Amino acid sequence: MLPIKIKAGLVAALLLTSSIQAGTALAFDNPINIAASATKLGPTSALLASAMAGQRIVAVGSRGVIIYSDDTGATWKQASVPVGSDLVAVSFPSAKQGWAVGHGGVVLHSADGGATWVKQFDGIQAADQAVRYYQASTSPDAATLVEREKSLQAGGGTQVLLDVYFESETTGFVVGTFNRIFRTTDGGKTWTPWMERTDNPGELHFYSIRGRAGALYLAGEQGAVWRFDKAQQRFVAAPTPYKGTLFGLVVTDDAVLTFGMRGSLYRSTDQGRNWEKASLGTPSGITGGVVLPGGGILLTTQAGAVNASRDGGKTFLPAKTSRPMAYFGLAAMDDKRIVLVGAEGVRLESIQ
Amino acid sequence: MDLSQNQQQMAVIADPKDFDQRSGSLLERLIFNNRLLLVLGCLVVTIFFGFQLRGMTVNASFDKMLPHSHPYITNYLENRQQLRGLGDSVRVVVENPNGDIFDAKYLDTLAKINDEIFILKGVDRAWMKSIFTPVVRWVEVTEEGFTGGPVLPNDYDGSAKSIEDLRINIGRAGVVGSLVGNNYKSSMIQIPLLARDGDGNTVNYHDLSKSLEDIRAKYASGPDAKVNIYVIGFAKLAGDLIEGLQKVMVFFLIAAAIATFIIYLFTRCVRSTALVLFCSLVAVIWQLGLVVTFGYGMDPFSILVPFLVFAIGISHGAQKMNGIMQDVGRGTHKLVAARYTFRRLFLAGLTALLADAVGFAVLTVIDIPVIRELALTASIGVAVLITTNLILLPVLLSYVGVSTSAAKRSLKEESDEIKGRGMGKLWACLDHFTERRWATIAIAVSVVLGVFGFVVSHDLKIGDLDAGAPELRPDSRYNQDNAFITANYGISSDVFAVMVKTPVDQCSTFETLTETDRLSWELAQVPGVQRTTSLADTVRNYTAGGFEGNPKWITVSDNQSLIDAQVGNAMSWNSEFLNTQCSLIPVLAYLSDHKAETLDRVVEAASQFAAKHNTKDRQFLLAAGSSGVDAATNIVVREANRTMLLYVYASVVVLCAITFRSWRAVVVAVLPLVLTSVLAEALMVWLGIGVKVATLPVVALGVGIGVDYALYLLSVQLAQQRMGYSLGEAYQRSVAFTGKVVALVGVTLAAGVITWAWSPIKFQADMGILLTFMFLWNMLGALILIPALSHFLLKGETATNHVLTPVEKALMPEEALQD
Repeated sequence: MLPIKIKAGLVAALLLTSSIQAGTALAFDNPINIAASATKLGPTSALLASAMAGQRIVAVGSRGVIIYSDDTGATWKQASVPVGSDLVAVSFPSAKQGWAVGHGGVVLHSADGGATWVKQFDGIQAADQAVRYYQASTSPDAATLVEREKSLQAGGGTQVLLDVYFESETTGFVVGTFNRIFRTTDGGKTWTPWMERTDNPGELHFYSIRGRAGALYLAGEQGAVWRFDKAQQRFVAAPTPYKGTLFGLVVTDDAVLTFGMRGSLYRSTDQGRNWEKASLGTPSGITGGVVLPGGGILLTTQAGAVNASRDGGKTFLPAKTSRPMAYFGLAAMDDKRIVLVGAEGVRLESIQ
Repeated sequence: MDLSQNQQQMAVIADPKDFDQRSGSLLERLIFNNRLLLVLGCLVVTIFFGFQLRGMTVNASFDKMLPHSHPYITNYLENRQQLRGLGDSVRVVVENPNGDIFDAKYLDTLAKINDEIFILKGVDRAWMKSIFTPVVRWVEVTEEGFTGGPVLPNDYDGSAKSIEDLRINIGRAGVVGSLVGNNYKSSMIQIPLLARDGDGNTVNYHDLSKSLEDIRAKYASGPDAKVNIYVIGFAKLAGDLIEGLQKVMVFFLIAAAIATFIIYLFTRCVRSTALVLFCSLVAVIWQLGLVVTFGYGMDPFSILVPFLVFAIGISHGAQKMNGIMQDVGRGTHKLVAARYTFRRLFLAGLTALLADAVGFAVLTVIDIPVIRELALTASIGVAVLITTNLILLPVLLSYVGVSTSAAKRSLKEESDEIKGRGMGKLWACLDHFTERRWATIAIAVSVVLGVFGFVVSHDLKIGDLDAGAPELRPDSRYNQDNAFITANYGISSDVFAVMVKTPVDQCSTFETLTETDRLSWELAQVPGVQRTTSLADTVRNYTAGGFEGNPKWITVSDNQSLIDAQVGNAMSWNSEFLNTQCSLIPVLAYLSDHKAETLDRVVEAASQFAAKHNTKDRQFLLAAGSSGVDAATNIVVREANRTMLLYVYASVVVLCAITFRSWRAVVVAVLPLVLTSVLAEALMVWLGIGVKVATLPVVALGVGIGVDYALYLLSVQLAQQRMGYSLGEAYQRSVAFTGKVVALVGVTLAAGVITWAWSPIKFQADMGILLTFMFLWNMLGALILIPALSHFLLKGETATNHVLTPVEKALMPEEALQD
């Protein structure tokens, strides 16, 4: 038997050598801190959202992949992206200025139409920012909001941002889980928490934010929709009768549509005070919607259907696409040509 | 011993009474003075081994083809039990040729097939998956939470409504591409196999394969066949290989028939032909009997050994005949002639057999059990040949004798040849190669061929090149089935797996899953990788499922609680992507093919990733899956190919140096072999055969057996030269005496292996073609290049005073010695 000290020394030595042998890798890199790796698979791997940056098509997806095309989808380039997080939404208020958000609570900004991106904000900064902001705030809800944010921080990880909407090159919103909403008025340089400006006592997740000509809506869990009330400068509840989750919104000049899981679709012509149920006749989730320049509305489903409405969203008819996939979103190039993204990448289709 | 004594010993003795029983070596006296005892002993041994053959098993083992000491294989074998998805399994696809799967008749047939497979021996029933097994479930999120059920509706009755329910369930279970074909015209039954069946026996692949064939015959053949059935999986492949082996056994009869014909042409004597055949067959029985006694079975590799043993036996036996015929023709009694033959050829035969053994023995440097077994069984075979064909054959000859007319004929032929008539014309033609002009031309042509071959051989690929199972031919039923399944399902049979190893319960951390996802994504970028998948993908999809199926949640969340819930689900839904301790995650890359370049790229990408991302608690281990094994095998084979060539040439050089005692002679003997090796590689490029487990032995055997020719020819030639003959005369005498034997050896060896070219097993066919080429080309090389090279290197060997070595003496023709 060896004396215990020597044994301990041996063990330590063994551990040391084995740890040296085990590998040279250092600490784990969080995806929010390292650039997306180069890939040629962008156009055929999962993409969650697309947008038009002028004539350029931009699509964002899993693992920090952002691709863009200047030749209507014939060829694609991968953008330079500083994060490897899964991106879920993108908004281009102009041809040059665009923002993308996703997991890790990242907010990315591009000033060159989507070719290169910088990180403006992430989930860790957002949490610190929210705590600091409400600690200094005089709002009656401030203490509760500090409390909530701290408990989310304690839970570990970050809060995901699930949608982004910029109404101009300077002003926009990002929204996410547990009543998370931030606003910027300086093109994303600073972000102000707006969590006290929502009628959301249940801290429901926000899945979508969309606006049009001054109108602005939020949609989220449990059939909840909120309308932005300019006078109060807050989002007031405009709930649908639905109890399931709403994934998205389409806002037209005279109506608002919200859609979500299991083919649920609701339409309101009075800013969300009253909702009427509409139907695509499908049980599969509706994932994306867009208003065409000519006023038509298109909705996509996870079952690979595209449905078109020519009557402002009252009725929908299936539109044929060449190679269906599980669709996650879409953007319109013009009245005829649309950019569909989904599980198998990006596809350009013509709609009759 | 001097020459006169030798001459005296080999004098023509018509009556055995005049023969001095005490002459000859101790071994010779021991053998021939106890002939009956020896024959009886051999009989007993033959009967014993004959009985042993009843225990002969034919099998194809996957494990034996693995290079066990390679770290990839070590990693794989260590973790194999945990890798459920990569386990031994069979896939049966049932296709409806007249429509889609939503057809009551089709579903009815499928149900019957499903039930019949379910009760087969060796099937791991709990894990069997098809649209008819209850473990295949659909899950959906509703406003109320998760709902789900088996894909086959509980109230399924074949009605239009229940078929419609089935259609909906298939859609929401997400089994299209795995259990249902992409075009909905076929569905798959996945059949995992038990390591051991209920009785504790390992699964008999042959039986299982046969049962599946029976099911195929029952439902998918004949004019009223309702479905098409496609079957793949290692068990089926092994079953097909075993079927193939049984066919190959028939080839043995063909090879034996060809050999008989050649021997008869050579001896024109029924008795000697029968005797040679008999002794060679005895050798095969002993060899196989020993293999069984040692507890080995027959596999696609070791089945080649009996062919080789038989062919080598035949060629050595024929050689014995050469001498004995002439002795008997001169009037020597058969007993005395047999003893002379023994005296003359035992040592030479032993040397040649030892050279063959060296060829086999160097194969043991390859760390792959099938090759080692091949080396072992072949060595046994060669050892057996020493007894049966060098000892038993002359003893039996002393009883049986040869036909006198054939003996006289042989004597006449021999003297004709010496005088340049008959076959002698051919030998005389070869003599020209000792002259400057012809020698220069021969060498120039060889150099051109050599350079050409060398250039071409640079395109030599490592590994298997054809799609599908490389063991079988591309157009085999199995590979057609494989092609169908690959085309209609999102799976490829070429899977490369990296194992992510963590401490127990740590496989589910955000860090590990993120790294796993990164590796998966990294591998997906490699050209030749069609698709990758891992637990990270499962977690991504389940997480989205947990959020009402919203695609925005297709992610590995940094909130550990979200991950834990989904890993828990994966665990309880029997995911194949983690082990029960949550300490191992396989990352699977499905490859478009198993070409060496593809494998190299994947290995490179995976190794680089591992080097960068390995930590103490998170190891990325290469490699499992069929392609992981292929990659490791390629690495071992590439390495072994070089070492083996080095060893086999080193041993041949040493052997030649001992025999010839002249470095120039070594060069003359070895250069033709080098040319053959180079050309064989060029031939492989031309025929699209890669360097693989099956071709490694070929090179060793080609060189090891090929050197025999040089041993025969050069020994005599050098002996003649050392007796004072000029190179031309020496070669003339050498070729006149041994040319026929060299040609005979070449042709009988080639005849033994050429039949493999028609084997249904692809690698056997490759081996057959290459061995035939090497045996024949080595023969030509020896007959043409040895004189040509001798012209430039061995002219100086002609000497005045020289004492023959025993081997040289043994190979010496009578006339030469009498001169």
